Amino acid sequence: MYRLSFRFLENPQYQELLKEGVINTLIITFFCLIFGFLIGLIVAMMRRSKMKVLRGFGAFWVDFLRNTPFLVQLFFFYHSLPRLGIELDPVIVSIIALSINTSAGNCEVIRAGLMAVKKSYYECAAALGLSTFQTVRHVVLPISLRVAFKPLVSNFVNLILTTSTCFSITVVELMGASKIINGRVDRPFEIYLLLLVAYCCITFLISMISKAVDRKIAITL
Amino acid sequence: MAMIEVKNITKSYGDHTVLKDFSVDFDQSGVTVILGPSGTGKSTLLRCINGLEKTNSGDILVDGLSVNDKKNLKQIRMTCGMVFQHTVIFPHLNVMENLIMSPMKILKTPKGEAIDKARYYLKKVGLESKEKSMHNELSGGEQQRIAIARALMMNPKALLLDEITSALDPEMTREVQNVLESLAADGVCMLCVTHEMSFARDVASRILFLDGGSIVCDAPKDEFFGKIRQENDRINKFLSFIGE
Repeated sequence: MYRLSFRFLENPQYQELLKEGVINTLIITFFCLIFGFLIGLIVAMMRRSKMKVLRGFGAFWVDFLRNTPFLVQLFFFYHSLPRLGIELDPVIVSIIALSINTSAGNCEVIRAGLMAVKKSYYECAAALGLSTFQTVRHVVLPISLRVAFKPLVSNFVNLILTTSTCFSITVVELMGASKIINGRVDRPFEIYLLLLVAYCCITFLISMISKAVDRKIAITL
Repeated sequence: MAMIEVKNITKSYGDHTVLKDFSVDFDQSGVTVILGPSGTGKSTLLRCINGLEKTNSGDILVDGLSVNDKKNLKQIRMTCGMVFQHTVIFPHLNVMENLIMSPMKILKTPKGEAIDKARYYLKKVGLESKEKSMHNELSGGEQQRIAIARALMMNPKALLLDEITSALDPEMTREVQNVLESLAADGVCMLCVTHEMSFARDVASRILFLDGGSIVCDAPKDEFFGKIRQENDRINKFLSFIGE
């Protein structure tokens, strides 16, 4: 009968690897969260623009990214950029690819939030003398982001889980570190079980925090 | 020079012309009630004055500034505060934050000063206890009173009120009317589209009756409800229809 053994975790070398994996996962997640949100916001604004060119570009951006596999997008950046003379660290390539990929989902969620803000809100803000920028900054965005909060968190959770594919371009994130350790100790059951539990704990924690935040910021329109 | 000069404006939605070569002046005094059947251009007139609708031709000057020039819109909207039938109290802000937002962002009023002013106007509309409330904790009548207070925060020379009681029940309508009557007594200039004849009778100084996008009658209140009503079949019919 198979006997579980986690003794390999006592090895300082593997502890270091796991630490590196956690740090890289956090770095990639943190930057992709920010850039993915900002790009998503900009593209969502484009999709709501009165200019046909911007609307068209926004629609193309979302459709293209959502209809192509992330792994292919990741490989495209990893293998193509050096041919253009751009040599980047795999972590940075991961951040670029994952930010762009996440932006498509974020764009649609933010766009739905923007669409929830009725014309009367814009008129009311205009009648108070607010400029278009002030209306967007102080009225439209705070309302639409509250509406979009829950699906944005869902995208965020998805982003964390997707970082696990970055090992395929040599990034030593959680999945990459686990794979290396497994290659040396051959304990796939223990290592991948640990990994599943770790991802589950992280996303569960985020889900709990987001529920608490949502209770604070939720609005009824 | 009148505060608001509406000069030969025409406003159409597609093939439907709402206001035809329409001209009228409003001084910065008294309460003008704009009456008329639905679809006759009453609300459109207020929206054009506030620059929310572009006219097809003609011009509107507010304090000498043309609404056709986009650069003037901010000043015009500060001169003429507007309250709508379906007013929006911004749902992410409480009542106090709703009131102080525009003075702080546009007039750069310091927060403390804005809060003091907001408390003054909340008291004026009888809602001083609601400053921390969110929009879904307010009744329709309270929301309209908050909207009036919010419009007054910008020190407008006139208030444009677009059927602000038409979505309210009689009790809430009375609450809002009490506020408007109190403001009128303080000398606040108002242009008011309404079907509330009791308000027109009690508070208006001037009645403007529109039909088919044109002015049928522009007269002082007493004259309108007296001599003109007796002589003008169209006005008499309209007033009879709404139970007056």
